[in-house]
Amino acid sequence: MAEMFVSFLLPGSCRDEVLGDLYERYKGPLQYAADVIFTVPLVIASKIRRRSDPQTALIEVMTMYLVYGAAAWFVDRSYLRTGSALLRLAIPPAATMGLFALWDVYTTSRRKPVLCVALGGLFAIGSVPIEILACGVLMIAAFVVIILLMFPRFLGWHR
Amino acid sequence: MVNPVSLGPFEQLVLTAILTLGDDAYGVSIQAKVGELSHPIPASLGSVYVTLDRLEDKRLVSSRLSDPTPERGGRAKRCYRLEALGELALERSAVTAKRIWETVFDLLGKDRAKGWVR
Repeated sequence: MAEMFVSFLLPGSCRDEVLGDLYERYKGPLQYAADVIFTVPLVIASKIRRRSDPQTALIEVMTMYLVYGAAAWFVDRSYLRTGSALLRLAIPPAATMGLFALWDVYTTSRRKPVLCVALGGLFAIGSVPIEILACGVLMIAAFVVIILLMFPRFLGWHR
Repeated sequence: MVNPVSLGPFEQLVLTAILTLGDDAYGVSIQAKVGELSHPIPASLGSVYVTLDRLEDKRLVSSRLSDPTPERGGRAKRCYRLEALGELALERSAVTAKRIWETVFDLLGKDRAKGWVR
């Protein structure tokens, strides 16, 4: 049961060997749990580091931040004048980048779905007005479609 | 001339463990050997995985999956092998460490320097 849960947490690229190593070290449930706690997060972080490209990530996050800023400008300009608006607008791009990183690790595909953008927007509900989020997600989706039509191989995004 | 890659202390330990273990270098055995080498400081399996990934990115080691075995619950091992660049980097690190040791040995004297090794 515990092994099934750990198997679910581990990225496919290293699942077999990590599960085997944990199995080989098994001495009892507490030791196994400690091994999992101190091993699995580091394995996931290492795979994220290996699969992510900082330059592309920076371009993606900056573009998304600018698009959410533009969405706020179009939908409700007064929101941009509130105290922490510029900081709050960074939440959906940051959440989307987190989802992109996980997507890269847990799938073999290098392509990132626009679905991640929508989910990233969902994570920011409560911190950014929903109209701005919806507008931002739609603008990013439209932006991605335009980029895909112009440069099909540029971003490797699909759907 | 290949530009040698500089290694951190933990990377040196992992490469030394792989060199020592030969064909039997995989996650658990590397972690055990690194623990032996770094005694009394323990080495966690997670930190060994992270370092192995980094060394593989630097092309200092290569890996392959072995056949599944029953003592591992039918799971395969990822076996690591030292590459030529890894050997060169480890050699440079060992030479530097030897030079440091000799300098300390000369400056502090035989008895005091030997007292460090337990």
